[in-house]
Amino acid sequence: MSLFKLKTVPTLLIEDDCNKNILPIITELIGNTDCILKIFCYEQPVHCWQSIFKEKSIQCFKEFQKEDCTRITDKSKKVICIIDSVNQMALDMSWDECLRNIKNLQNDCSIIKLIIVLHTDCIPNASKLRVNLNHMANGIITYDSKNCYKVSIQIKKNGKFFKSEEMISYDRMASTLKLTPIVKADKKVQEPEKISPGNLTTFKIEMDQTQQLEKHKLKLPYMSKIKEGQGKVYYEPDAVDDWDDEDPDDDLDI
Amino acid sequence: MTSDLLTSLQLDKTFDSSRIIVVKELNGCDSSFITSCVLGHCVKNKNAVFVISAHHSLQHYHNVGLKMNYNLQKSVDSGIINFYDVGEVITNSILDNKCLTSQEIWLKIKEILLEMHKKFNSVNVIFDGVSHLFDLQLNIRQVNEICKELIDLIRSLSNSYLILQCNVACDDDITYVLANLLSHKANTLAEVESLSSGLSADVSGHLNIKYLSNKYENEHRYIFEPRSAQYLFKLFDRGVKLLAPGTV
Repeated sequence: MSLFKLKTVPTLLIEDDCNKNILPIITELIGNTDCILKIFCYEQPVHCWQSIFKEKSIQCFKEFQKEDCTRITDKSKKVICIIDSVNQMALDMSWDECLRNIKNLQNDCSIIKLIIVLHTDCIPNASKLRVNLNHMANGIITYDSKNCYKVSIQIKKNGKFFKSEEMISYDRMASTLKLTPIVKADKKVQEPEKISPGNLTTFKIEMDQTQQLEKHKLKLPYMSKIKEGQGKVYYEPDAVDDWDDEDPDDDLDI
Repeated sequence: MTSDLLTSLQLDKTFDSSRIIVVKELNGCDSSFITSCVLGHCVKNKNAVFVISAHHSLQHYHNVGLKMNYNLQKSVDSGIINFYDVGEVITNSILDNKCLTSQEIWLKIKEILLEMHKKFNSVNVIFDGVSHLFDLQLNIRQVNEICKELIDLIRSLSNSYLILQCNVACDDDITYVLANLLSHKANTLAEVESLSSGLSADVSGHLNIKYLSNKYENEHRYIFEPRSAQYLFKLFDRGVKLLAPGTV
């Protein structure tokens, strides 16, 4: 369902890093369309894209020039535009000019789909490029930083906002790409685990049941006398002791 | 003792198109052993190499080369290896209070490279210490421009490879951004990292090689994780040995 929604989105932002392969999703989103593909190849050489889309009408450009957008050989056909690295585009022409050009592409009636690839691991700290692109895009696919198969999808359409986390997979038998939503199990509210002293040391502190039973059984020799009330302490001071009947703490105002 | 490393980086094969290899130095590790191994391979096979250095000097590589049984200075004198100390050039211009633009730096590199290509028909390029350009008062746009022009030029030449070595200071540093920008353009990415637990007599560090351009081939198009090979490496005076994880 998410894949169908993504195909209808006019401006799609794909956020990845160098450990991800976004070609399957780009290939699936373009599908079997007979539109003209315009690819701005800031990163990969032209022949790489030509080998992927060899059966399509493709125009590759190494840099963005305004005339490139308007120059269409067959005006009856619509255009799908791909920017293979908006990071490189922003470095090439400054990020505000880059955003202005992307806005112009969005407003171009001949372009039915704009796919922008943003590398999240190539954004300088103070850059606002990602924030602005997130605002401009109708759909965002964000690859998880740790899991190559997990993507986060956000779609803004007709005033509605759709968000989901999905697992991406490829069925070789059917030659189709699948996005399967991740169903989050209800997490029960658990009490925080009490810290057991036995877990904090490498030696044994606590007693097991047998040891506790043996401890309970043990009778100390003098305890019986104390319980009967016969326990008493006899003290005989030595000759050198200076016995004082006064309370030593008498001077304290307790 | 260098053949394992060269095989892992696919430098022993010949390809129809040029290749870009990016070496990332993580956690304070030094990857100059890769340069020394590649130089030894090129000297032995009489392949032209253009070394652009912003980190190590010619004397360093020559001394290492002597231990690895090849004479780098002799190859430099014969012209088959050209050593351009871009760090020294920029430093001298700063000390002389002259402004050397990135365009001027690139034009000088291009001039030498094209001259070598005309003479030897195939030139391999090693750029040692790309991230040091930031220390030489260049910003990310300028450094990216030089690397972009160099990568585009190498791609236009046949049967050449470009090795870019960059150090990553930390994850929120501009060197991290540059290393990743270059990694996205690379055919092969080699990450060299020191041991996180400290020093060891048996192992010098980790070497993780990712073959990023495989995804453009039909058989790897739908593989979501790039093919990678993880090794441990041990540096010796005469070379480097690659070990499989768990064997040490």
